[in-house]
Amino acid sequence: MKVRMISLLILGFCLLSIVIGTLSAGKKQVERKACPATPPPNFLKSLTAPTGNKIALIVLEGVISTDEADNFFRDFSSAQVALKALKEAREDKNVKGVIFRINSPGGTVAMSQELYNSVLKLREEKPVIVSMADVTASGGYYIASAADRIYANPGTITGSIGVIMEIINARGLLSDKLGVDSEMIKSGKYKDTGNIYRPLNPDERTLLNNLVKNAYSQFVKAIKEGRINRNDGYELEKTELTEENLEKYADGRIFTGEQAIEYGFADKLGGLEEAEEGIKKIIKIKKIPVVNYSKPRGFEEFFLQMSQGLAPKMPGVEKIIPLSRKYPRQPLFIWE
Amino acid sequence: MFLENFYGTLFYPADTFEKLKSNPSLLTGLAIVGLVSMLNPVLRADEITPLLSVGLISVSFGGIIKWAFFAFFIEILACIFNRGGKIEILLALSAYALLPWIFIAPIALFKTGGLLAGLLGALAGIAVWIWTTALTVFAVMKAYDISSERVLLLIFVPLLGFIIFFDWIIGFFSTLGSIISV
Repeated sequence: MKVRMISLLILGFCLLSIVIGTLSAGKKQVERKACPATPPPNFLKSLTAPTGNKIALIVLEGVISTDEADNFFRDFSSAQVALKALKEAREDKNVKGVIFRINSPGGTVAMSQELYNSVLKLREEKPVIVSMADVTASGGYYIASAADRIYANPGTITGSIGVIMEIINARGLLSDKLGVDSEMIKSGKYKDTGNIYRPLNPDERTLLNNLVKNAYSQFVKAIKEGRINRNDGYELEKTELTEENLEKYADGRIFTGEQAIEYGFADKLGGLEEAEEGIKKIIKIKKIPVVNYSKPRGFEEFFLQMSQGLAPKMPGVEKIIPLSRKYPRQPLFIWE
Repeated sequence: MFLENFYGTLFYPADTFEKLKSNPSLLTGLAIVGLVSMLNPVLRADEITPLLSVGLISVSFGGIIKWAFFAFFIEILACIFNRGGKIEILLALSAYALLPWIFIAPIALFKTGGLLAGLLGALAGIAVWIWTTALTVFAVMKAYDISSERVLLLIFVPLLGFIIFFDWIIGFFSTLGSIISV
C-alpha cells in the first residue's frame, strides 16, 4: 500500500510537471503571437547576412591606393573594399546611416578622389559621419571632408592638407659610384621627367610644380565643397570651417583632433561610440544595429573567422616601404 | 503490479529485475518506452500545434525501434558467446531501466521556472542520465547473468570490431587501387 502511494506520488508529480510545462509553453505561445520578440541569434541564422534597418560601419585603414585589392587572407579595410562598401551601403535601403571610420595617412590622389566622390554621393541619400582614428591625414582628410560630420579624438593626427611628390636623383650612386649610365631616347622633352639618372631641369621642375599645384587646388576645392558648402540641416552640433582658416592651415601642417575642431576641420570630439550616438540622433532611431560593411557578412564571415585562425595576417608591403617610394614621380595626398 | 515494479526499479532494482525476469511483460515495456520517448519533445516544445502530436507519435515509434534494435544487437552478441535466447527478458528489463528518465520533467520545469540554476539543472540532468544508463547496464547483467565487466566488454567489442572492419576496408580499396593503377 505504502509502495503504491509513493509510486503514485512520484508518477503524479512528474505528470504534473509535464502538464504545467505544456500549459506554460502554450501561454508563451499566446504572448509571443501578441508581441513577437526579436529571435535570439542562432548558428543557422548567423550564416545569413542581417536584415532589417541598420547603420553601416565602413572602415578604411592604411594607405589609400588601388593596389590594396581585397584578398581573402588580408585585411578587409583597404581602399578598394571601402569603395565597394560605400556603394553597397548606398544601394541598401535598410542602411539608414553610415559611420566611416578612417585611420589613414593618405595615399594616391585618384583613389582618394574616388572615395571622396563616393562619400559625397552617399551623403545625398543618407547621413554620413566620419570617425577619425589614430591618423586621418592628407588623403584621409580629403575623404573625411565629404562627410556630414567629422568626429575626432583629441589626440588624432589630422591635417597635412597638401600634395607631395618625390623625385629621386640617384646619379651620384649609379653613375659616379657604380659607373652605371643610361641613355634615353624619347619622343618629347618631358617624357622622361623624373628620371633617376639625372636631376630635374628647370622646365621639368616648373611642370611638376604646376602639377602639384593643380592637385593641391583640387584638394582645397574638395574641402570647400565637402565641408564649407555642406547644407545638411541635421540637428547635430557642427563647427564651421572658414575659407580663411582653410587657406591658413592647409599648408601641409598636421594638427591634432582638438586643434582640428578649433580651426573648423572637425565637428566634435569623440570616438566611435560618440559617432554611433550621433548617427542615431540624426536618424532618430535609438535601437538599431551597427553592421560592419567592410567585412564579409553571413556565411562568408563565418568562413573568414575560421580561416583567420589558420592563415595569420601578413603585413603588407606598404608597412615597410613608404608610399612615395612605391609611387615615385607621382603626386600623393599623404603624410609621411 | 506496475506501481510496485516502478517503485522497485527506482529503489530496489536488483530484487525487482530478478522478479521481472521470471515474468517479463513486453506490452508494459512497449508502453514505458513509447511514453518515455515522448518526454523530450514534449519538454522542448515551444508551441502547441497539431503537428506536435504527429511528431510525438513518430518520436515514440522511433524510440521503440531503438529499444528493439538495442536488444537485438545485445542478443546477437550474446549468441556469439553461447548465451543467447533471453531477448524477451532483456526487452522487459531495459524498458524498466528507462523509468528514471521521467525525472527530467520536474528538472526541466524547475529550471525554466528559475528554481534551478543552469549548472544545477545540467548536473541534475546528467545524474538522471547516469542513473538510467546504470540501470540499463544492470538490466543486461541480469538478463544474461553476466558480470559488469563482461557488460563493459559488450560495449567495447563492437568498437574493436568496427576498427578491424575499417582496416579491412582500407586494405581492400588500397589493394584494388594498386592493381588498377598497374
